[in-house]
Amino acid sequence: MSAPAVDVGHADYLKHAKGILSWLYTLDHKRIGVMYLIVTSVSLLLGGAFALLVRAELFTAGPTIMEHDTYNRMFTLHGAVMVFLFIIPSIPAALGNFVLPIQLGVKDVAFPRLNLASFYIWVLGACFLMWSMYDSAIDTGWTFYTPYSSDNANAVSAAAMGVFILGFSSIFTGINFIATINKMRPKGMTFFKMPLLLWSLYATSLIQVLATPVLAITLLLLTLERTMGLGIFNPALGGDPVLFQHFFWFYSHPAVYIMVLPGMGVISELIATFSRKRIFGYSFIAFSSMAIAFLGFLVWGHHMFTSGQSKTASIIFSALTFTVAIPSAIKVFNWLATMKGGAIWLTTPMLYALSFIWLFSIGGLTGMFLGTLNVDVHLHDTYFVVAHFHYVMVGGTLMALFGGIYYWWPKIFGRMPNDKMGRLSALLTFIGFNVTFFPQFILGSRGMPRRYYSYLPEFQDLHQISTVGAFILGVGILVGFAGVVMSLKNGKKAPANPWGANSLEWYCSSPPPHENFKVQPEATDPYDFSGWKWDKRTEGYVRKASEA
Amino acid sequence: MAYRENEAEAHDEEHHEHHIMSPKVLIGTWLGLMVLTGLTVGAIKVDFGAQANLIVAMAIAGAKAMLVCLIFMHLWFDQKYNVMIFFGSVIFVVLFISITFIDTKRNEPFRDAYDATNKPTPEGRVLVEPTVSPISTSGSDAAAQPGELKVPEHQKPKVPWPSQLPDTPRVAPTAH
Amino acid sequence: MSEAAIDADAAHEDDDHGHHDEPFLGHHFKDHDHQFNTGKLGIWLFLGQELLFFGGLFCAYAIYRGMHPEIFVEGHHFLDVNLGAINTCVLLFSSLTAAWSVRMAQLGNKKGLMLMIALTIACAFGFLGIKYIEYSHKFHEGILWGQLFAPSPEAMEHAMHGVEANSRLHIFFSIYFVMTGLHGIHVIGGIIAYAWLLKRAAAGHFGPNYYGPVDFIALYWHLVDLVWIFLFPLLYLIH
Ligand SMILES: [Cu+2]
Repeated sequence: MSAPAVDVGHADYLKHAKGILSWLYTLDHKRIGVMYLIVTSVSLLLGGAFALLVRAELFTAGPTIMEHDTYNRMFTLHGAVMVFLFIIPSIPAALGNFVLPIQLGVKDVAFPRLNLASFYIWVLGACFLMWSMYDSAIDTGWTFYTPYSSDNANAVSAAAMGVFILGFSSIFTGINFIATINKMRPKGMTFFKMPLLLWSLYATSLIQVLATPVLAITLLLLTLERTMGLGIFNPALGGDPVLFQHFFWFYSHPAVYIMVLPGMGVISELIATFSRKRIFGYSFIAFSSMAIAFLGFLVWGHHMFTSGQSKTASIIFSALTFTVAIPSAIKVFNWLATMKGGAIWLTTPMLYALSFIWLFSIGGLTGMFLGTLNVDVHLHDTYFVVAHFHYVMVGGTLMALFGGIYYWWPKIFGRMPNDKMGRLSALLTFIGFNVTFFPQFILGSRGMPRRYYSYLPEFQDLHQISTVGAFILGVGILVGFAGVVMSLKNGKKAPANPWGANSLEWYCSSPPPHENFKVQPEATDPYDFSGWKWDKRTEGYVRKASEA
Repeated sequence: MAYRENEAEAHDEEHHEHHIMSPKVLIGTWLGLMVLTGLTVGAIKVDFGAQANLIVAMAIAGAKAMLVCLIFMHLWFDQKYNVMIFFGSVIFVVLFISITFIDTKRNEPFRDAYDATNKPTPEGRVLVEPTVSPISTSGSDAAAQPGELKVPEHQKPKVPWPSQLPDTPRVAPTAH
Repeated sequence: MSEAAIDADAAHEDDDHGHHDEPFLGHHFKDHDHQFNTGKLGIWLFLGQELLFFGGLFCAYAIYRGMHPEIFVEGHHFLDVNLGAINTCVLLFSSLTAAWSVRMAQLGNKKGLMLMIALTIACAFGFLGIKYIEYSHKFHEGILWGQLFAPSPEAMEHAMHGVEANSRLHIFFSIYFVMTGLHGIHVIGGIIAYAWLLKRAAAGHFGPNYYGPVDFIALYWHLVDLVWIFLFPLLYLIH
């Protein structure tokens, strides 16, 4: 197999056209990815600010810095912003948009216009959500449960429509990715020779296309219920509020995998690259992504064990929930097996990857407790649940996102991120995260309910530890952002391949030219790292002479 | 999920025949659809029993849908992956509906008992004096006391409810 | 929402930086076949998404029919089977013309293509017209959804023949209006898409080499028809 030549020489995509309009009208997947990266990062900071306010309030029992009404709004906004504006679009729409076409060696995604449209649909949805905050911030929790949401006086309709619109952004990204991966793979790249990131994005996209429309119809019905008195979910009118939960979780359980599967893909890339070893059990990791995507559709009722759902349904859902653990565990074992005997290079992205494995394992295993029917009746709606899903969603997505940002930043902006700050941030987020959320497992198992404004005196110590941890985590995230953003000004110029990885994006220059590749290159073996050697002059990897 | 077909097709240089439908096939399909429409309107006048009528109506609708899918939508001649996406989506819809449907009977006795005293109307619930127990279990048609929850024997909890314990006062069930 | 999507989906063919000699071939595609197949996959994924979207409504329907079958038996007496059946025929005919429009585009018959598109649009308007008659009749009699359900005594007597209606009857109309309403919005989306297609067909954009948008919008139109094929017996024909 002849390796594609390193593509250098013509203007990179950042300099290709100038002016703000050249960004706003761009059809270039790279620029759209960068725009997504900016807006999702801003959302992360916003959602993080809400989280810190919530934690600050919980520093003491009773009023600390805000009234209980404000508190209810704060945790709702934290959830809604983090889930819908940040986690769901973060890795697929930002990093995925940038990396996916280049890993396939194509010039763009299949439908560039749809890609830009989905970005603006995101912006429109975000505007609705912001408007609802300005109007009268919702306090229903991010889940919009009926009947409370059917007839409270807040701007639930605006928020629900915002999420409805955001859903279509997600669907269109999914359609684009599936079509691109299916139809535009380079010569020699069969499905089982794709980088694992593409497998996980593929599985994610399938969920986005098949689950998100159900969220859309749910929120549409909720909005109609509020504006026109439809009554399908409102028990006062003879409707069925539990049906809302079925609808909502048919989307929102699979959505958990929209959040974490792309992260798993990123981690697969990082672990293999920085262990300098062929990924262990490639096809198992690939199949487990698809299995997670499929099984994820069959377990939604585990959120409803205490909702009045029938016993039959609960038993079936509980049993099915355990099956999801199998593919998740397969991934973790395969990552560990990849590292065993590898030449591990502890770069910043690798530190994030290791912290992902640790946090995801804890999050996944505690999920098993919650999936057990009788245990869940005790733990439902306590801090145990809060800790569990933060370990999966933050420990999973956030760590993978930062790992991914530090890994691809040289490719995206052509600058090496600040390694010292990166390592510091990886350390701070890991410590801060565990200090925040581990005490919450204990709180929850002792009966501290979630979303409460106040608590019994015996919970105070653990709450205070958790709040301190949250601020450490906040600092860690800020340091992480500073490490990459400051590199734009004074960072070292990045070589085409700083890590010695072998998927196609490392074959074009950093940053890539406008059209990525003049002609679509032949596929490489993404996990064969033997063809590269360290080059002192560029401080990056270059192809070994024998193959060039 | 069936990557195999896809793999084969992605590498056959993306060439497919541009299949053109003949007028005969198009009109024939349309006539078939019209006949089936007539059939389904006619079938509803025949009493097969409530469930069977629904099944007949859905079977005819299914046949019509297949005609539209396979011929008007060219699915019969299309690439396998497109066929898979469409019928895959249908499978997910069926999973969604059927799993949710398991839960239909979840709280019938409770709901009916509640409805008996709190009638749902477009204006919201109105309190009514119950006359007859909404649930007839083992022939007992005793009038329900206002606010009393009548539950069939097999639905009754093994442990007594708080309201049945000796020293707690009886409380009327409220909406949760 | 969906019409924007369908437009975008069909429009992405003519991507900005096209091949120099081929105005409608995107720069990232090898040839017309590659572009056509990719676009087709895209539209099928979009239709899959539509199925799940309507699937939510069918699920609500199934749950309520399972829990309260009475309200469906009672509710359908308020609907006019004849108008429903006529509308079914109108939509089926429009599906025929939509399928024929693809044939015309494949044969490069510009006049025929425009005629078929125009016929499809006409049928779509016919469908909406009949729906309008049905809706205005219902509104007039106070037969509305949920909270607004306040039928006139005559309408009640006409449908129920003096039997007292179930106290959840208004839920049937919530389901009826939301299902037919969303279907109607999809019809309007189809009209917009077909109007755009008519303009392009008149400009002579389509031929045997390039007819993707005609095919894709026809597929969308057939899906709208498919949904109605199920709505008709589920709402109008209840025994
Ligand atoms: Cu779940």
